[in-house]
Amino acid sequence: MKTSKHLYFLFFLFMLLFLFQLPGLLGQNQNENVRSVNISASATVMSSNIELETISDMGIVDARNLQEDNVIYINPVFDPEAGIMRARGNPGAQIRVSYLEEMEVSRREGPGSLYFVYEVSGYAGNNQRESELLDQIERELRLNDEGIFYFFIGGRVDLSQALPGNYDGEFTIEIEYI
Amino acid sequence: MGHTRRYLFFLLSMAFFAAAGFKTSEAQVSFGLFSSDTLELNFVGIEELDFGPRISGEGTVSINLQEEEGLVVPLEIVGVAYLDVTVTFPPTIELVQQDTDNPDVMTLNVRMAYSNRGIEGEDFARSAAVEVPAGMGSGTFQIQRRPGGPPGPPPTPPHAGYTPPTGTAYIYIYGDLEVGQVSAGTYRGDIDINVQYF
Repeated sequence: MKTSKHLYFLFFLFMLLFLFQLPGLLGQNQNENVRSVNISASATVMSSNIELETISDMGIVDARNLQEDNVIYINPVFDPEAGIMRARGNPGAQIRVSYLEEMEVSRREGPGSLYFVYEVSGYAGNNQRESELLDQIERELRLNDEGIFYFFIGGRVDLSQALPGNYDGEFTIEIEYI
Repeated sequence: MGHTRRYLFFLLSMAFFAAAGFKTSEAQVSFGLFSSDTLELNFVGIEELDFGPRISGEGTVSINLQEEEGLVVPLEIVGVAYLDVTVTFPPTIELVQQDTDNPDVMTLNVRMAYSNRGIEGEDFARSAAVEVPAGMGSGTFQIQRRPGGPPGPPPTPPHAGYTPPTGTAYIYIYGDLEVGQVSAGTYRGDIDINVQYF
């Protein structure tokens, strides 16, 4: 019916007017009187310490399927079982890294030990595939722009002489600023 | 719904919308409040506070307003010379460590000083700057300070065709940064400065 159409139109029009007034209704007029600026504040903190944290332990238990001739080998670049450590320090700083390659791993139940030979790779970011073996890096190592460096820890252990049981071992790595 | 009801519904809602619209177009009339078209807040020098390289555990780094230009942000306030303005700012802010899920924070105690003697140039005006006590978070002052002596005649009231004289005051934003035993990295924060006629 014609009357209805007109009504709808008027209704719509008034709604539009109302919507335009909405900011005023909500009391936002007051902000027009204020002038503002924003100042960004920043600082870069340097530390004499390099923090080192373990992100995940080496998964020796899961590496059983990596056995060949009683030798378990975890490749630090390719195997997901590799351990991950993260160093944090001054952004862009140059570092020197050294680690004990061979460690004696002792058996909990009594005498008997294994020798674990570590292989470590590193990358200035959380990217295992891009990491390079530390022994083979010719150039300097540097923390990235956020001050971070990742280490991926793998290695080899010969189980042919091993007595059954539980073995505990440690990995020692030293990082310092150059 | 019957014809009459629907008709009534539309009429009532339109009345509501119309009333709402008209109400806001009245606006508030504040006598003595100037149109803020006359008020300006501008950067006139460095626009950021970069405390640069600091050593973890260094303690509090205090900025001396008169001596360390590299760590003071000057701003100019332009407005009607005889009016008061209020500057508000956060008394403290946090600088948050970037690029980590477990950020450390450092506290920056924000300071403000103002210079309203009508001296031209923020560098010259700085020597006459008045420091607002730490922790205040605001300061109110006349854009151009009336020189001492008996008050002059009242200012010419605003009217059509008359622009009241404007003046420039300067404010300076600086602060004291507390560098605790926080981990190495980049830290960032934001300071909002607001100005309006008092």
